Amino acid sequence: MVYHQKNKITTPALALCLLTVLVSCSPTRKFTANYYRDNDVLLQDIRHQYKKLYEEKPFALEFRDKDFKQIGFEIMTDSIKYIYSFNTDQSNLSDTLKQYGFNEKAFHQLISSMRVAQCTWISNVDYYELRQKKQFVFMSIRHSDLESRFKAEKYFTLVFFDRPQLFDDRRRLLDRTDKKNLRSINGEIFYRINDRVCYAFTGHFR
Amino acid sequence: MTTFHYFSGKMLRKKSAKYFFCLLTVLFWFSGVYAQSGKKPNNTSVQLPASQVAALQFLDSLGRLDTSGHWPNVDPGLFLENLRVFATTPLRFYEGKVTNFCAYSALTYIPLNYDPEGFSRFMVKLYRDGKATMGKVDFRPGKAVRTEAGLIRYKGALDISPAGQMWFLVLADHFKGYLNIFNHRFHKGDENTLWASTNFAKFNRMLRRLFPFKVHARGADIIRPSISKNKIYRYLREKLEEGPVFLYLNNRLLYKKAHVVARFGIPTHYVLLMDIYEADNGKLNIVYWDYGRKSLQQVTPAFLKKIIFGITWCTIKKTK
Repeated sequence: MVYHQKNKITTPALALCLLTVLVSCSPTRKFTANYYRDNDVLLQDIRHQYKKLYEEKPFALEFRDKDFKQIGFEIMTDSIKYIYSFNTDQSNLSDTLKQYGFNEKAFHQLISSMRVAQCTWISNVDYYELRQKKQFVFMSIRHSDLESRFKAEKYFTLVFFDRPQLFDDRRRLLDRTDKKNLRSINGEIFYRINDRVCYAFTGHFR
Repeated sequence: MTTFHYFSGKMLRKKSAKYFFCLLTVLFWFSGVYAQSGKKPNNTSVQLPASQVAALQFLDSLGRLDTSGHWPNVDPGLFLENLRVFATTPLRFYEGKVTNFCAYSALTYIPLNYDPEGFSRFMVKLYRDGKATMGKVDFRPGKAVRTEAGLIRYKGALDISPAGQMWFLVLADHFKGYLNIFNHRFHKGDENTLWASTNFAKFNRMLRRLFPFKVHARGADIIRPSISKNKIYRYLREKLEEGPVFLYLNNRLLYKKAHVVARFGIPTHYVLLMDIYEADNGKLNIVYWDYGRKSLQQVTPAFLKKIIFGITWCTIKKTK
């Protein structure tokens, strides 16, 4: 009798746990493989467009809404960072781009490429190897496949290095300096896509 | 550094003390304006403020430092180089990515701007002796903290700033508030945890005990100061004219990192307010300092009121 009662409780609980594990694991794993394979060319194109514009004037770009219409635009100068918010069809975006000397056409091309890839954030991030400053491109993808009613929204975060990186046998990004420690980025562990690109699913897009 | 040199000495006891203070205020203002202008020197041909020159002269007089047994992982050459950068470009002082050091970084504006020489002397003494005094505080950091300084990595420019790591770790090790109760002792990685976090009362206590300023504060950890959105601009403007102003903010709104709508706003970030002015469209332009640079952002008065949980401003103490 006692055995049956116990079974009545544990069986649904186990089933629920199993379901939770399946729900929490499968979409992201599938998403990683499919998304990067399908969008490799587009993502690399975004990276190149961004780097070219960044060389003229350092900046970071963010989409603030699900419709990819409102942007947050951070322009870095030597002394100050200007943080703007625009609707992409607003005329004052063009005025601001002109004011800072951006290539307006190239900038709008970047915006539309990011929209296609559902890239919600792009920036250049400093990191240090043997006291030498280096940079990688940091991108976050906001995708409907990563949304869930039961969990907080996740972002597919991609990091693009200029040179090949080291990874351990579990495909985790290693610190090139000592080849042992995991290199965390924004406090997260990143996993290999190829020798220069790695990813993580993060709760933050920047 | 027992206290700031400017505020000590027999001169203050004389009748001319009032005039001395006026002169001092003007000098401070000029050095502050220079620092805020962002026109930092790349070479020695540019005229530096006297306080920065004094700091550099002190650091040059040291020649080179021997490795300290108290701080085994702090490279003496890099440590001195860090102090030079702090003295000449105080607004580049950087708390590191994803750390809870923002409160310590914000308050560092005061020694780096008003007394860079005193700060350099303090740091050198701390490095050599493993202990030092600033204001009313005797710092005697524990071994765990002293060993960790110089080893914090993957935090951006903080990776190459062992002096900055020392300063942050020493402050977090010494000052405790209720947020630190459950993580009182340092363990590796605690720069990202509650061990390093700072509640509003602790922040104000640090300012009062470390620096010779009168510290005023409004607000609390979970209750916003009762200043209407129509008056917040004028209020902050007035306080800025009195001295340095620090804001305790809800960072999830200021620096959005996720698209989740935050229902329960709590403050998590400290910034130094450097300027505020009205824009033509009725919004407010705020200039604040954090993460090693100034930022200018346009916000509505209602938004500004919504994100501010604490306002701290400092004025020069009147001596009897």
